[in-house]
Amino acid sequence: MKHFYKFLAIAAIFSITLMGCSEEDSIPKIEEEDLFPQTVTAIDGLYVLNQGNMNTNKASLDFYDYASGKYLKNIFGEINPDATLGLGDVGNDLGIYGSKLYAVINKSSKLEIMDAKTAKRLKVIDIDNARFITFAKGKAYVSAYGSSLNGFVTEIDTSTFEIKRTVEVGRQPEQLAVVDGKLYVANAGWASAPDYETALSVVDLNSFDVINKIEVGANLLHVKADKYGDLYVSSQGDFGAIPSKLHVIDTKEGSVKKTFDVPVANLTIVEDRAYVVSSTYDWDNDKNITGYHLVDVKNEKLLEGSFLPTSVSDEIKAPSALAVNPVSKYIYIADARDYVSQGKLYGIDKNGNLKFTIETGDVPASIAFRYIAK
Amino acid sequence: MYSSERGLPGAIVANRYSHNQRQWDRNLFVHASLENSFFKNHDLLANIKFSRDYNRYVDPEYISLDGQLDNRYYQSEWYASLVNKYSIANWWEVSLATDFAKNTLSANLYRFPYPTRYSYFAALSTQMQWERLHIQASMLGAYVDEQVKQYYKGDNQKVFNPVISVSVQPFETSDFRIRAFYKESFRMPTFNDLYYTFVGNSSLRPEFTKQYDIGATWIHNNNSGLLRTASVQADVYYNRVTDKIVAMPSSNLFRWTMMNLGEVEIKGLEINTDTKFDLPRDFKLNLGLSYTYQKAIDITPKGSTYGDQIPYTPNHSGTVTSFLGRREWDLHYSFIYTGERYSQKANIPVNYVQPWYTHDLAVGWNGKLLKTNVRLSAEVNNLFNQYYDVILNFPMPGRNVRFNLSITI
Repeated sequence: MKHFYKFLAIAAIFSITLMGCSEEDSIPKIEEEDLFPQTVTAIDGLYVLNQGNMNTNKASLDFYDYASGKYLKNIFGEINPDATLGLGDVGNDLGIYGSKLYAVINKSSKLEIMDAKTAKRLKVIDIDNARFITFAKGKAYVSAYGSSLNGFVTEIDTSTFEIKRTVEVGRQPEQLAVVDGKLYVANAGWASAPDYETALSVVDLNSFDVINKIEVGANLLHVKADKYGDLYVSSQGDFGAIPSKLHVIDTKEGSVKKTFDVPVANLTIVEDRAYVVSSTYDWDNDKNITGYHLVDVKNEKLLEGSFLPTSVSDEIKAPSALAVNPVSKYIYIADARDYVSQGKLYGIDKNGNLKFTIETGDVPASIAFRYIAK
Repeated sequence: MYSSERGLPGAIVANRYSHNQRQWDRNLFVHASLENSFFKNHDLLANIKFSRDYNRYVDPEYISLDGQLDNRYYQSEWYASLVNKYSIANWWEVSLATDFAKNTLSANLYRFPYPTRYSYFAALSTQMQWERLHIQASMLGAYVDEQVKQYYKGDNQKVFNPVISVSVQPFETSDFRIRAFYKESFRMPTFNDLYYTFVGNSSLRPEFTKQYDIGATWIHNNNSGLLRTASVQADVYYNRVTDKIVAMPSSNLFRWTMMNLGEVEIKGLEINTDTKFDLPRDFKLNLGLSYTYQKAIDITPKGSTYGDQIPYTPNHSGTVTSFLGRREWDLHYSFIYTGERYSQKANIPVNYVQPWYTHDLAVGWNGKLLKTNVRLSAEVNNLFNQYYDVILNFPMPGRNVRFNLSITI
């Protein structure tokens, strides 16, 4: 019996010791790295939203401060220690409007509104399966898949953070843009493949009703407006017989006026140039073929050559986030690499010289420039 | 025959704490075997098996024109094997095993390829057994022929895998033995890897593993005294995995692709001990300890995480199990420890996952009630109610209590 009691005593001590060394879940600390200082213009820095793989709850926010040249990684948790489970699962889109920063978190079904200066949380708005955001006249517009057949767009007042109105659009709405008092929403419809959606929904911002549909092509994703009243829209096709294409839409006529045979992976427009990343899967050689094209949006012409130096384009495996600083014309492009480890951000000056590379969070998805408050 | 329906767990992430996806499974199989001997020292074993699996997955949050997502998969397998064994001498045996399998998969999915896989295996093995030396060697050849009705087809595969293992008794006593083995094995890309994804990957190669292991065992039995049995087993090993098959999300969230990516080098140490005591007053005590140390390093050339420990593989893990019994009563206690891990390939702070450990306790009574054998037991699992994730964001149960009553007729 003595042995038995001794054993129990030892077991008890053992258990208590092990209980004692359990650590509390800690909020990840901000990591700081020295990058390359830049001249502060109207823009003094940029935010990067990283998706994080689905179910990992690792959406994260980075900030690149131009004046100090510091790159701060994973800033949300430390700045907002009271936010339960942090920024959330799958960061999809990022935008800055006025003094506020907006992060659309897809799988966490929320819009996170922060102070653009401090990244402090101001408000969280629940939006079921939210996808993309755009702004016009003091309002934010967020597209969302929702939980029924058709998705919707929600209108939010950017000063009171109230949801003003909601309008039903097509199946799986993606990017959206405002031109001349009208909101254009890309509908994808991939959940019902092969019955993809093929049209943009046109929402009148006065009545907040869908007033028209513009036929474009199968499985729409990107929508960006230029300053000439045209929209650049990508149709992703069916990943088979129907290829992905880039379309130019005349919003006055409400129809497609030009189509480029470019399979669009990402798209941004700054002044007279559209920067278009193309990507197609080559089944024979089992790899992605990527391209970096410029379109002259004034003359609607695809220009020769690549907007990236080959030293950068040869390195990038899976192009993801893309942004061009409208003042300095610096190009920022991210590589999601294998999608399961940290991404990489490249900074290229307007002469095409690579200025820096930096590791970001997992799957960098979206970039927003911060303007100095007036 | 087996049938089940269950709710599936989902990741617990910010702003999302419940899920309503469900899954149904139904498995059915019939099996027959035959044993015969045609001449002296010969044995023949024949097996045949047919199985059919049905699997249904419903996601009410994924709505298409046909309503909520309702995927149904039907998988069937015909399997036949024939083993011939011949004893050349009383210490030497050879055998030839041949296997054939036909697998088909169909599903109610758009663009489904409807694959059929014919697998042929042949293994020639020999076993030599003397009092202080055992040797086993085999060579496995496999040929896999893959057919599809439409779209992309997996490549046909031809594989040869040798295995050799030796066990030696170096001293007079039979308590202590040393063993070593070398083994090559492979994992074919499964139907899931190739065809469940939105767009399968036709050019996947099988995943290969080479294992080197050397170890020793010491087992001692006493017929009297307090300590009745004591055993210690220790192994060190070196494994190398090439063409590891991994799933990667592609540019579109709903389009995963499978890839052969990565080389992994694993160095490990494993120790198991077990002791049995006969205590006074009819008490019986068992105590088991196990410990594993593993360094599993990503050595993919040009990889961004070269030299990092692979995801979800702890350096240290171990268990303690104990049992105390007296006549019809028994008490069990166990402790499981899994060391710190990383949830992604990069070993950086954001990917760090805390170690977890749980204490479980159970008490049982065996006896007769109304002339039937009855067992009553009560378990308390996760005794100290510790929060832990085995997979990140999939929280495991806290303290939970279970009562069991089993009756043997």
